[in-house]
Amino acid sequence: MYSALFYKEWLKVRWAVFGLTILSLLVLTYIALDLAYYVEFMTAVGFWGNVILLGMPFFTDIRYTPLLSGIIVAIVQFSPEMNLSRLKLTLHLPVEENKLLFQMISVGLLLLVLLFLIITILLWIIIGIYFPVEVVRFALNSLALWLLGGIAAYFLTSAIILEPVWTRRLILIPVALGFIDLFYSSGNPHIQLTLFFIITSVVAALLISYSGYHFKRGIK
Amino acid sequence: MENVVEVKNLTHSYGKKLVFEDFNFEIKSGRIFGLLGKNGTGKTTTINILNGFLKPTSGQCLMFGENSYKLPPQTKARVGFLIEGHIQYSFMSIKQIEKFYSAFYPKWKKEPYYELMAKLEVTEDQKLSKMSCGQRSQVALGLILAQDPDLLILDDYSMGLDAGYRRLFLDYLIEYAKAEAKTIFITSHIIQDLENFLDDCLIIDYRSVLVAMPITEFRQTFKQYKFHLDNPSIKFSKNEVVRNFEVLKDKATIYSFAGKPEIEAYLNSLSINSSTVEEIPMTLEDAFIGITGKY
Repeated sequence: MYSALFYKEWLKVRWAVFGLTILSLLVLTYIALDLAYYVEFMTAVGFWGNVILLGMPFFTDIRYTPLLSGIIVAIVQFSPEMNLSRLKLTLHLPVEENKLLFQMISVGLLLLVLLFLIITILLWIIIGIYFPVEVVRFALNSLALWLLGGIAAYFLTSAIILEPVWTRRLILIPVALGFIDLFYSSGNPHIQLTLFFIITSVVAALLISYSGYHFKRGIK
Repeated sequence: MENVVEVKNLTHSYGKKLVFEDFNFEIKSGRIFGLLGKNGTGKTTTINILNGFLKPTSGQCLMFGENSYKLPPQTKARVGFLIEGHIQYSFMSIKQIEKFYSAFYPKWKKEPYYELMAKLEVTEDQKLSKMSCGQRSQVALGLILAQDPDLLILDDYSMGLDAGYRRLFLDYLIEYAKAEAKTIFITSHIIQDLENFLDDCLIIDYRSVLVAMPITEFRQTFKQYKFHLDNPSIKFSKNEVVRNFEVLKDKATIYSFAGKPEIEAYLNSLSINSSTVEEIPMTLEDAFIGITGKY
């Protein structure tokens, strides 16, 4: 049954995921070309100095790609379900309702994780060509927060779309914006912070089940 | 005969607007049951409650003995549901949607689905979003037939369909229901189509049940009487004898479950000349309008 549900979700999101993968590759190519240019222009030692001592940004162009990915995947996955109350079809399937909603969420999450894995590996390779492991670790730590922000954005956008009550949607939107901002406005990431974001992301996922409950019970 | 659906003392309101109160009915196994009523009388609300998509204000709905508020998956598998407007996953093709649903239903039979699809001028790879409303209705019906449910709930199957597709829909449904002894719960705003289809009918009005009986009994016992009024200013009122009435200048019509002698006696009691009383045959649609009124 999960494979059938995966198939349905895949049909909805495949073009968006394909487009976002292309976008990510283009941004990473731009970062790689930029890096090559700076190394050539400043020499590797000069460029390292600027990056390490002056904090010169060199990989931040990828910053909002995970955020955009999370929002777009949620929109293309759940808007068709809410259009004409099509979610009724899904909730009428002979599977426990919360399980169905979480399986749908798991498909979007899985595809995002795969996309983010590609981004992580490629950025690792690109930065690893020019920088020592410490700089690579610093870059991947920053990237990890942005990726978590993308996943949180996916959960929260899904919850907002699934919420049938407009007033609750209007409350959820600023809450979501404030929550997502935490992933982009914080300074040096550290483990505690990351754990906090993981836990709150799980809370965001539970929110989806709450919105689904509202839909199921016809609360308007 | 086992009750497939039981609705007990159901009351529902949207905010302060009461849709219905103390609503009761049951559907026996193997029967074709029509819920008929004018727009806004609560047909879709009833169906949403039955399918667990709406929590009633009070009362209880049972399907196969289970509370519809929380149907277990195995009971859901026994219920085929056509959403008003033949809503389906429009991003899927004919082939994809069949493949998707088949994974969920153990009794899945793809033959009736593809048999119905063969009648349409479509290819297997055609997306539902590129089909006409009539074609989509056949896809939705085909999927329900392939599911092989024990109970079919069809919410306004006729919405947006021309006469040909409505006939095709019902022809398939009748053949299927009779051959497989299925229970059908149907609503429609085109009453004439259901004339030779229903076994039982429940006619509802705003907040009340007007008729709950086998369709043949309703057709036989509900009558239309026309007569001449010498005094057009006379006021009628609804009661046990007069279920509804219309007065147009000097012509009056009374709708009633009473026989002609009772009507004549009633008119005489009001000092109305009953010599012109004439019983006029009605179609199901006439009878429906007669009991619910035109407004």
